Amino acid sequence: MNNTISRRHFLKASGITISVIVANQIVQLSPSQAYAKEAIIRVLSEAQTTTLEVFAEALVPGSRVAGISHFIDSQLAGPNEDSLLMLKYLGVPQPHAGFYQAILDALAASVKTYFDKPISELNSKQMEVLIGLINQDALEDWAGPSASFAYFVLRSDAVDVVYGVDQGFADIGVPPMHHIKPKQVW
Amino acid sequence: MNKDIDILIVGSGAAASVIAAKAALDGKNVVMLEAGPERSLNDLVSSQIWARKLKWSGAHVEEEGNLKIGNNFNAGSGTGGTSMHHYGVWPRLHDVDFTMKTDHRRGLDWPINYADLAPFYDLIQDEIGLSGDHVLEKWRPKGKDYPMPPVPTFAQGKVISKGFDKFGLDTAPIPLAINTRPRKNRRACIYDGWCDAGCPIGALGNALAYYLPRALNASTHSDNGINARIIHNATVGRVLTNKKGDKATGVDYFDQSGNKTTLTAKIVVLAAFAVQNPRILLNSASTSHPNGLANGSDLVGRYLMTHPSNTINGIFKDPTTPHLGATGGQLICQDGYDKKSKSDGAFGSYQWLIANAVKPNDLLGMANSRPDIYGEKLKPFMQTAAKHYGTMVCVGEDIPKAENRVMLSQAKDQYGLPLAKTIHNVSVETDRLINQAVQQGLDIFKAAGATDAWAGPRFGMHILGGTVMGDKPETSVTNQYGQTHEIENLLIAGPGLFPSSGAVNPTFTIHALALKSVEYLLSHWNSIAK
Repeated sequence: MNNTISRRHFLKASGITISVIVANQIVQLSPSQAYAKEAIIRVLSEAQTTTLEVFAEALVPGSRVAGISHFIDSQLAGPNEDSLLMLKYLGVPQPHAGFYQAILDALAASVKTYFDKPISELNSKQMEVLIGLINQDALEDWAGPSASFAYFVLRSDAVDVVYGVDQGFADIGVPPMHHIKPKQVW
Repeated sequence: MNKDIDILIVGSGAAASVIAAKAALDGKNVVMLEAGPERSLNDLVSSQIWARKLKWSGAHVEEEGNLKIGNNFNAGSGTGGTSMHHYGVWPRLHDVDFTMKTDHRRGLDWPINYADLAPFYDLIQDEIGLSGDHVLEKWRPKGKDYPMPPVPTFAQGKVISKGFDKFGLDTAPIPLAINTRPRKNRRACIYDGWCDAGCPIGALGNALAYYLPRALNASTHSDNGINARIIHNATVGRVLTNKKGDKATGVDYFDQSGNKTTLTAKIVVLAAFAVQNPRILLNSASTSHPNGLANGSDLVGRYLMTHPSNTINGIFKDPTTPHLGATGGQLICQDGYDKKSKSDGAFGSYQWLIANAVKPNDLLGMANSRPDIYGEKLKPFMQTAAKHYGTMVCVGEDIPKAENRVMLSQAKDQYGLPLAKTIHNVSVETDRLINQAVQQGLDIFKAAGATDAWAGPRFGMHILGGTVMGDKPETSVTNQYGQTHEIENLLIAGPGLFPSSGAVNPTFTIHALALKSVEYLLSHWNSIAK
């Protein structure tokens, strides 16, 4: 068996590599690398990106530096048929950019209504209240796809980037056990 | 070149690959039209995130009802179709599954019985290779012994089976189309639990592991030396017929750029799964078939079914190593399967698939088994689950109902073709069946020593019906060989043919039916392909 794995192959086998723009060049990076290198966010606005990162971090700690915003944004920027988002099989028609933009805008608006401050300034108690209201679809002026569904999707995305990659497997003690490619295909 | 096509198959999945292989080996020129991209086994990356590429990526399907069919989760896309993400769980239907209407005045009967299908199950089993233990499967209908020993039972299976033991319920190694030893130039499984992402070592018997290579390598007498090929990224819009409407002449398909191409063939086989087959037939309406092809009795799209299913999850004191094994599970329980009339107004069969290999993420992963956990509590849960989580799934029987159906939507796809719209509601009897099963599952987990046990949400596993087979044109779309009653050189293949769902995973039956169809087709070639 061939145990020599190139860097590109390793990244591919690790679960996610995304096409992002860094210094005017399209490069293949993991979402966490894209976050660290401040790759350009192409579809989501700056405000939507902030909302996403703060909320996802509250749901799944570690998801911000794991590159949640770059992961989602890269999928929204790519061809529909190549999407790696779980939303793909939850029955929401593509393109999915509208869905994410709608729920992130609704989230930001609700935070403003309920707490009169940006989401990045919520303390942990306020964030807990917010998550509880979202889970129960109890935000009165929520405008967009169901709030509880938005919670499920964003939490799943955040779980993907934190626990769906080798580092996440290692953090909880699950050996990834990726298949080793056979030397030849029959 | 088009005139030379003997059989044009829409799709490249389980049913398509069987038909293509047998026909190509018989010397027929076969063309498969696959809506998704080309892939080989070497392209299958072991990641739950990457695995989403294998799911349906074609035209959106609008879904309604109290149990949606979950098209995008259940259907596949790309070379090998849905078979590429299937788990290789291959139990047989039981005798009682073929006679629901006769026995219970519900749903539909099949035009065949188990004995008619058994020889085809046996042949497919010999070819692809199944692992299992026919002795421990005391409920298994008569059939040849499995050619390979069963998959091993890992800690998760051993822990959960204690609960079944305490209730006097039997378990057996799950029958899997997974090699437990090297066989026919395919490697043995290494039990790493990546079945959902496709199996790149060919241990799992999907279309790319067995029948497609045989189809694509078949070489007998055709001019270019190869009898079968696949055209990828080809979305079929319509089946074409002659003016009289009694003979299929070919199909129109669109490539990725939207260019339309017409291919003609002697035989057309629709093997594009249970939703797209009806959609194509309904979109093929013409002067001679104003309501769509093969739809003279308004049955195309009707009797749409899914297996109502529910996961049971738990945390056990004992270690479970839940990442090991096959995604489909380690053990099966079909005790009580044949008694469809249950207590308290519940109806239908169900089975338990026990100790599925799970990964941290994705819809059926550990994290999403408890979507209510977030923030600082999540990592401790994940660390515990990684070592002590157990799961099993109840697969229930649906009752075929004419009002559950595939229709055409007002909305259209990028090629201007109406989308499919599905309606699927389960009856009160089915609802009661799953509720009973869930309670049983929770009791089993507690008896097995679970410190915490909970049920997941109900979901639809597999998609069946919509182009059901039967004896009469008034009550079915095709005959027992998948030939449409109205156009004898237009065949349907796949789970859409099922008149009732049973409560077992359908892929083995899909293969057996496809083999039955193609053998009939080839033995009656001169009359059908005239």
